[in-house]
Amino acid sequence: MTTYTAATLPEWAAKIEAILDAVTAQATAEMLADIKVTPGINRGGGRQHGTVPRDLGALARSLQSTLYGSTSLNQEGVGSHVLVAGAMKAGDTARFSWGGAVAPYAAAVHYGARGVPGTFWIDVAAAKWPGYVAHAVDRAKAALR
Amino acid sequence: VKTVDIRNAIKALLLAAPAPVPARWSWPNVEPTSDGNPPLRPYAEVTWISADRQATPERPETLKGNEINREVGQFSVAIVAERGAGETAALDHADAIAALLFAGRRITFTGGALRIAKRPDIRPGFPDGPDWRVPVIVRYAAVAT
Repeated sequence: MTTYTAATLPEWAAKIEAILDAVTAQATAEMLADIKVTPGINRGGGRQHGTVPRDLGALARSLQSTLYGSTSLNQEGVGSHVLVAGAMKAGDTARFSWGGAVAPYAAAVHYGARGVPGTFWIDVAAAKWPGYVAHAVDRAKAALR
Repeated sequence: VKTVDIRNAIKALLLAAPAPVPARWSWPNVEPTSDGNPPLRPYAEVTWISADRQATPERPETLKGNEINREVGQFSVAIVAERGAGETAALDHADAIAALLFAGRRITFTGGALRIAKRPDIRPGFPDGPDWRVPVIVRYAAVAT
């Protein structure tokens, strides 16, 4: 157990800031990493709820990850979230989006269209956000002991 | 709490709502084509996105048997309107859904009650063949009473 006094307040404050940053970055990274890419928009599989379906990979590759805040960063591609989530600090805003010119059908696949149910990967991931934060907090607590 | 009771309560509320909430509905495993082929528009299509079922701290899960008494979930109400007819009419319907399911609204059902957890999120519309779709995402939390 570490004991902090008024004399070590700056040290304590720096440590808390580092913990908040770690929780933010880790929870975001885990959430994005948990969004699976599975075969089957139109061929080679079935659409799985909560996942990004792929045929040739354009939709999965269309992920654009942008960080606004302490660092400005813009990345594209399946793994683009890794750098952005890793660079996040507490209080930063990050944006992750699929679609654009590369995969203009992203909304139809996400929400469902033409009689095919949507896979809602963004909303499914967002619903799990409190769990990712709780896990990141637990890890931060473990690191403090 | 039973998922079927929660969903039936939401369904009853939506079906009983006055215009401009759409009068025609499509539910999971119920074809909208009962109103013609192609179906008459506008209609609203409900998709259940996620339902996280939990025990509350007061009545925890035990090894003897889980008592599920809380469900946190979300569903989509997609307004399906004619493509090329502008977005005003579809947005009117979407706004009516959002107003009906305002944040904090309490809906009772057999064995429990649910509350709309946050203001429904009206997402950008997108084209789908001859249709124009505007998804509205609704989040709720239900507890056993």
